[in-house]
Amino acid sequence: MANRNPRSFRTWVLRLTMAAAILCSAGFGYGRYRVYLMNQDVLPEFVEPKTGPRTAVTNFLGVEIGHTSLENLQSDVLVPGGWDCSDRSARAMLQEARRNKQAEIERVKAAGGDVDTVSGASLANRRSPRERNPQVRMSCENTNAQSLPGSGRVESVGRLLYVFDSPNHPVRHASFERVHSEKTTALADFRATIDAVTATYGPPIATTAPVPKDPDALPWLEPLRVSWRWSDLEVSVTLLNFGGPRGIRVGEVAEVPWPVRANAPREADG
Amino acid sequence: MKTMTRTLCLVALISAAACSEDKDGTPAGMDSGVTAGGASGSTNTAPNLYQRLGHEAGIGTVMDDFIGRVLADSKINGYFLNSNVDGGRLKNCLVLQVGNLTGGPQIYPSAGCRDMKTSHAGMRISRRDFDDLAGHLVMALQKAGVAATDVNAIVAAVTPMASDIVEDTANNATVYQRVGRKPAIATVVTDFIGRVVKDTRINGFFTMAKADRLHTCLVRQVCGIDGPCKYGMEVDAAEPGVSRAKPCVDMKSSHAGLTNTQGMGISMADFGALVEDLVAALDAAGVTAADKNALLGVLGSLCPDIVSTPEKCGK
Repeated sequence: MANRNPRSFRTWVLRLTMAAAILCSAGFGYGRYRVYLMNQDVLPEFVEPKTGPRTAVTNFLGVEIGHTSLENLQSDVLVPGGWDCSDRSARAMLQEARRNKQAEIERVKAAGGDVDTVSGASLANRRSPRERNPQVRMSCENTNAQSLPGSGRVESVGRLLYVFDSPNHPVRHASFERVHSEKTTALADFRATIDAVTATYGPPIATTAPVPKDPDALPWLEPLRVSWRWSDLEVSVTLLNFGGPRGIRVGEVAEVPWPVRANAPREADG
Repeated sequence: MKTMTRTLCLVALISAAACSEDKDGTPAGMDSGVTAGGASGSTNTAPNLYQRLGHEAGIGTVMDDFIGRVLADSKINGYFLNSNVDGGRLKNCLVLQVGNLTGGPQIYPSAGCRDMKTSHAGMRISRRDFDDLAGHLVMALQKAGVAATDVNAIVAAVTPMASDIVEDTANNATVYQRVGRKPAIATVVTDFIGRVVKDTRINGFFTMAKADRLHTCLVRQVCGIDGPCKYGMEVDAAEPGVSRAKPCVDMKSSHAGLTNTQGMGISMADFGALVEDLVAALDAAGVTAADKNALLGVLGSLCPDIVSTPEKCGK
């Protein structure tokens, strides 16, 4: 049997211990780094507006696109409007889902149950990469068209939406979308909305097809779109006839074109 | 243009071969006396077609190249890039079949390989799918240095199989075929993703999505509506972002956390925005209203797995 050199043996043990310690530290550090990364906001790379005319008007659905802050939206528009609005961004939804799941687990634990019986329990402790986007989507479902600012709209109920790139960015997008079951009402709403936007922004610059006079002439599954466009703002009124029970969707949108920086209209005003 | 040229060349090749049969019905170039079934009654000492191809090993080499070409051709690879397709068995069957056709000792069907009609039943294979496949066979044979007369002979032997394989002679029996198969679907999906990314109403849900995986899965989902792709049965090293271990997942899983039951998840308006973008992409691709409707019908069936108010889907 070979003689073992005690000094050499100790050296190897020391080396192995050090290697293990380094590996453990690296693993721990990497884990912490990943957690750190997952908690960092990731904003898209915004760009300057293309050359071309800038908008002089930014008013739409009670806000100034590119100007109004999230705070001002809430205090000056949503609260006075009395609408039922909430942040429906991916981040807000996932955080809510996580809170709900954690609460469910706590309830099961409190009742002496087995946590393994909670379906999707992993959601409670897992952050999704989607949450790195700090976007805020103030969504007001079931909003009555008659209650909207500057409304002369045909009666309908729809979704009012305001989008911010983050709580610190001005509003990028405002829209109101509704679904009609009758062609006549949908066409009347479409026409009235075009007239309302024209009154604010002037004549449209593009239409995908002539707006029919006869509701029965509304094309099936062919989007109708009337547009106003500047390098820092796009406004459109759309109609899409899905046919049958799916109804006819009418929408009005004003937004800073993606991915132009959201404050471009404000900068244009000087 | 390239595809059309290739198809025309193939058709010309097939026509030339098919029209120049010997009096006994044997295609020109194929040794007289060599018939399907492999039995050779010839007393010629000259090597027959099977021997000229290099016996089973030579045919195997050609089939490897042929299969590689087919798998790389997005026009037809949807039939093969599914995890339920056994590539090894496919090659064995092809070798047996070509051996059998060219005068080799192989028996076909045998060894678990089924006859053409049975094995292709219900796959809704179109005439152009068949032509594209045959075109790859021609190219694989040519690359292997097979003489033109022998290539023609093989093509002439393969061409009659079309009646057992092709179910869609007019290339229009399915939405998949009418839209333009996987390449056209990929174009629509690229346009669709581009619209979604710019659509501020919903683009926040797609932040951090792996673009290549999203594209592949959407293509496979549309391709699988009535085409050959099997969603969720992806294979390794074939399409970007997916593998057998990381297949495309169902809508419920991919929207986990966004469809909670408190009514706080993805709304019908969000789903409608997505559908609008899809319709716009289909419209730009010139897809007919009827086909758009068929595609939306399938998308609509996924609605309950995506939105927080599934009871409102379809209303």
